[in-house]
Amino acid sequence: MNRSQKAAWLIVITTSIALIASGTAITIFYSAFGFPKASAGLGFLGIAGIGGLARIVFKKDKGNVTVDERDNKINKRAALAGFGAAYLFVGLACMTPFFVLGPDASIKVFWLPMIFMIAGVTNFYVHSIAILVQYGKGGKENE
Amino acid sequence: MNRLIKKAWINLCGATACIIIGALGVSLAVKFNVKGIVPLMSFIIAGLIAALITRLRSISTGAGFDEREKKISVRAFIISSYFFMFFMVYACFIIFFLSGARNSIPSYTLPILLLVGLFISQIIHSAMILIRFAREQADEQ
Repeated sequence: MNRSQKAAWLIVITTSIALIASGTAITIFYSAFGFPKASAGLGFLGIAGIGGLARIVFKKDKGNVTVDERDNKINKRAALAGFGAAYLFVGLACMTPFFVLGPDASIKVFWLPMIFMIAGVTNFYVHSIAILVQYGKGGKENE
Repeated sequence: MNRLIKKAWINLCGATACIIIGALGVSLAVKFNVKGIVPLMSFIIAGLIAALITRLRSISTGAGFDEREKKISVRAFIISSYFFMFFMVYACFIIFFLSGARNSIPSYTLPILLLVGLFISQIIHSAMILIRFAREQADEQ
């Protein structure tokens, strides 16, 4: 497993744990206390930040050639997949309140940074999954 | 004018037309207070059809591009996506700090941000392609 794959696994695992923990916490808090207090469950999304340490935790691969053409191609395709998913999320997040609530409605300003943070997390998550899928399709390791 | 340059110009004109139509659509939706699941699903279906048509067109036109042109096109797309994300992040934080965290904004602000962001992204994408080819021509001369 090369450095990209290890980093991708770390991001996928930490983000998945963050999403599951956050979703569970919000559900439990909502049933117990109702919505404003239930948003405290969003704090568990911070677990996904551990994935950002991947480049520090996993040192550079040893050897003269650490990254080759195939790795660059896989990374570019994964970046495109990540951007595509983020675009899709941002598009839906921008248009859904407009249609569901109506043009005369208003939304709280704090949702704006939330939308783009979630889009960022979506980008990294899909990027990592795309890396793992492509390496998995092409064979086990890049030796 | 090679195929990729033509594609850049066509995409720019097409995106401009789509943004104008989108802006008109948003204005009409605001004027007539359109809301509900049916308009949302109509928008999603229309968006998916447009994306599918765009993807099929890009597959058929992309087949005629050489490696160099594909590389330029992908690089331009990645840079334009970064610009889109930066624009959206800065715009939302500017609104966040100017209006105050506890305040509200009209719901039509989000579609307007999205349309402006997509327009800027397409301009950057086409501009990157045109600038790259212009530089190569200048280098050749």
